[in-house]
Amino acid sequence: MLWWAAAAAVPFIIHLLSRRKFRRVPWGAMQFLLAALKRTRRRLRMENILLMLLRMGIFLALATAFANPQIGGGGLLGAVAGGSRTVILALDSSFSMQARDDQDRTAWSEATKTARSVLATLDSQKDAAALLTFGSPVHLETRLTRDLALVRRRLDALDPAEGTTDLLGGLHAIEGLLAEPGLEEDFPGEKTILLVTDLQKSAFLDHGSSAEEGGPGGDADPELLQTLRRLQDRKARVIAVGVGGGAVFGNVAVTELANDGRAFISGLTGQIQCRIENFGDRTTSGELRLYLDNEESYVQSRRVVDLPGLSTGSSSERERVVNFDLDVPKVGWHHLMAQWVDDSLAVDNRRRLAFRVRDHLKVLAVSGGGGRRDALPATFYAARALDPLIDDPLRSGGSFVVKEISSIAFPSEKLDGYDLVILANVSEIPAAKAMELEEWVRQGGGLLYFPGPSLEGAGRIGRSGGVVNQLFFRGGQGLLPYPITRLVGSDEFTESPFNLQFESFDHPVAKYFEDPRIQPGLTRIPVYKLAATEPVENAVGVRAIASFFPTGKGAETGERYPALVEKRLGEGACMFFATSADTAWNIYGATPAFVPFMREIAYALTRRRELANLLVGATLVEDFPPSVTKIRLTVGDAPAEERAPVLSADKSRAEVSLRQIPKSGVVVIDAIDGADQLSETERHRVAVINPDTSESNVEPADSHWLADQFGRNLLLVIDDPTELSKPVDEAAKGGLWRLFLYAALAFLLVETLLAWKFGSVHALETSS
Amino acid sequence: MASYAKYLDPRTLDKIKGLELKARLIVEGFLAGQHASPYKGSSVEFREHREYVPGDDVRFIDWKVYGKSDRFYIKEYEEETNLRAYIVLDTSGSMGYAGQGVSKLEYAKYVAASLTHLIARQQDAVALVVWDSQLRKFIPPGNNALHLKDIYTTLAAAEPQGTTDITTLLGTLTERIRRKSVIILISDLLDADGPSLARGLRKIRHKGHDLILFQTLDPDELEFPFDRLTRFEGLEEPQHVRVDPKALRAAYLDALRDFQQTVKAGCVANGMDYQVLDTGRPLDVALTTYLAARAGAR
Repeated sequence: MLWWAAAAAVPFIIHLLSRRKFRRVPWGAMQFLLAALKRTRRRLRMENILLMLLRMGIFLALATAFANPQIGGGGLLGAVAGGSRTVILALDSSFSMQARDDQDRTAWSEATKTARSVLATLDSQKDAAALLTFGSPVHLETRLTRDLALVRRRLDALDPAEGTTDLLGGLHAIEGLLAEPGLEEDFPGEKTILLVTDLQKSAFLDHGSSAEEGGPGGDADPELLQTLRRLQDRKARVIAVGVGGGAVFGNVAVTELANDGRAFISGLTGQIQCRIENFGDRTTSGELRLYLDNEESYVQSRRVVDLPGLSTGSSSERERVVNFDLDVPKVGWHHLMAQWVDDSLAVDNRRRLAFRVRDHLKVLAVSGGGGRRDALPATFYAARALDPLIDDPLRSGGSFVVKEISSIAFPSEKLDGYDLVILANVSEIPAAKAMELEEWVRQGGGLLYFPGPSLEGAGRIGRSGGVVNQLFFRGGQGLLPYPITRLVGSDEFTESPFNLQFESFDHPVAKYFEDPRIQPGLTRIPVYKLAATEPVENAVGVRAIASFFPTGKGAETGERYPALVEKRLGEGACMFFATSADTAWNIYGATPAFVPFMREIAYALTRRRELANLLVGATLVEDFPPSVTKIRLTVGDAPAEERAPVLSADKSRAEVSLRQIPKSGVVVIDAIDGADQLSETERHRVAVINPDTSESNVEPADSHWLADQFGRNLLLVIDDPTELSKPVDEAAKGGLWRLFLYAALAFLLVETLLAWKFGSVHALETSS
Repeated sequence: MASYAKYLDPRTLDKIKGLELKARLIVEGFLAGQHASPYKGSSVEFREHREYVPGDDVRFIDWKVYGKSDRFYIKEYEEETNLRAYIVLDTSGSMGYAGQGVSKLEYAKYVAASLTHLIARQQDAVALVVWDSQLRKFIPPGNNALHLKDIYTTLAAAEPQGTTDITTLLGTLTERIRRKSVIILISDLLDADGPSLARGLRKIRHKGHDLILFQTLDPDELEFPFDRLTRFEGLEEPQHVRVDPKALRAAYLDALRDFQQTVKAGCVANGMDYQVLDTGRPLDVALTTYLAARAGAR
């Protein structure tokens, strides 16, 4: 069509011809004519040229418009007349794409519609396409293929995921795709990558930059920039197609559902905390419901009113914690679901918590010998604080069941099945048992260590070593947070005892005693002797919760000694309490506050990182005994699927995994145990998958910001997907065609005005 | 009397044959619209006697005095007329331009004939100078019928030709006209050089002549109404300009206005009259201007 551009020569020809077409007038007043010509010659010449150029411009613009101009000579999809197109369709399947607008449309439906339209414009004989989604987890649906029908089928079968936008992951996947050997031979030429997305700003932002919340600032992700440059080097043109209209809509998300960290004990009341946050603009109200197991009817609800939005409240005001008291159900795996009323983005209105309910926690109390003041075991008070009915053989109920043994019996005691081990006044155990204990803690067990009189023996403790330190500190690698260097204080009750003081109240143990009415019951108890430790700077996982400080005459020294120190070790934890568990060095055991103190410590040490609560895109791995031969998996509403577990190399366990789970929901895992050795709790497990609510803050990137950060060469942003959904020629017409047409009309208007004002053609020839 | 007024319209006059008739119709038409004329012709009146010298016209010897004194005395009279009027007609090629109506030369002829008729009617002597780049015809002042017929015939025969050389003309007139006269110059003044024209006018004035300058221009030359691409070909010189007139109109009118201002300033400085004659308009403008100038000369 561009041969029409030759028509631009028409004005020039007309211009020349028109100079030959004139009328003759015999004229007398030539002197004035020549004077006028002399005055206006330069201006006339300029106008003459301008007029001619304008007329040529009109024809050029018209010719260009009718020639269907295309960006880069190949149109938005890289079409070159007579050539082939290679289009990689990358669809954002993050859950923000499921946000519904006023007309109940989602960005996802618009994205798939756009993709279908693009595929419809491709020629199955020449063109090629690939399809992938880049909501976390990124998933490559098809590699580059000319089998466009296959791509269409995959597209039709696509379901939006519920992960976050992983634009970088998507582009890396495309890079991998383009780097495949032989690809350039099969699909030569420029590739067009269409990122069909709702343009969430967080997907493009360098999260380390100092962007103001809701503001236009912030820098682009440098890795994203580098990736785009690499793609440009590979002759791949990246176009981001905005879908969903870029509208900011109201969205409230349930961002957290948890208990206070304690194990769920059947028959007790659990504290459930649900955090909701308003990511929308305006204040909103609604009802939060709590479902247990059966998600068809809720067990409790809370009305939340006037939850401020972005424009009405600060970040702290926009979120609120709602508490529920849960009557913990029977033993076994259960799950909770908190649901906010459905808003425009329903995915994050639900959040689930999977938990195992137990009938009690099992505690092993190991006593290193009686104190000198009485014959009671060192664990006597601690054991009874946890298990008040320990001496009643018919006891039932209670959170803790404690078994008391001596340190002599400890080496032969199996630790499996226990949740907590208390070592009181234990200064020497076999090294192997110490290592077993350490490994058991690393696997998730809890250990509470009390020193006692048994440490007074020679070589037990010391700055340069000692048996206790060798067994339990191990140069910082062991269970104890700090090495025990000496014993401070007196065996006799003096007038200068030590008192306990919490460092802060944000630890669960300390938090219980934050109430000033309760706190003195613990902090004013005199401690006459303690095991001093030497803090290790920058010790990993170590946290001092409380200190001892001398009172009376000793107060003048100003010394402080770590009293309660926690060390996280692997999945478990160890706590060191610097004085005796019995009344050898203090009178804690005889005071009421010691009971909640012990119980809070026990609860803190029996917390578990809930592996059964995962985010979308994560991988779920469950271990079973090797006797398990089959696993039945039920993911969400999908039909149950049976799998054979994979045996570990040493055949000690069988493992089943679910990789990159794309959607939120409940996963039920039933093990079929050939040997019938598993308890019901072990056989039937529940896990839940939740959406990552970092995607909930739906904030489309400003197109100017994108252009500033990336430039059109690296990332061309198209806000209107209909430009792509038209055939290539139509797309060109829709954009540039109109542009050139308008240009032609503008030229014509200016030319008309100039011609009206100054004359249509100026001939300047004179014979004089 | 009103029927004469139509003869002031050059388009009407164009249809009438005979320049003398045209002149009479013009003047009668003009005077019909006037009040009683304040300008009356003078009769011949005796002034004095003087002694005869050889070469005097014997017709003016007073034979009665000779009879009484036996000496020859010549009777001297007052001037036969109030003034001598020289009508100078430019017949250069540019005067041949005719737009929608009569040509400038035709219009100038009507003016010249009308003035001849008017001047003669007032018993003044009228002379005619026909000129382009050179003097073509010089008819000395006179007032009798034969003289007037000679003027009308000369006017009727005048054709546009040659170029304009007004400086030479004014020099020639200064030399040829020795007595104080009224010089009526009818020309389009095209190709005249403003400063040279001013110098010529000063010479005329220096000799004590009165001058009435009628610049005869066609409406086309005054308004430049052309709107199509046009090749303007010189009437006096073999030159041409091909141009879009719309683009030049403003500059053309500026140049014309500047020239007219220069000429008018020169005339005013020398106490002369300057009048533009639009060939598309009636001829009474010329006659009124003449009579006004004549009144000023008395």
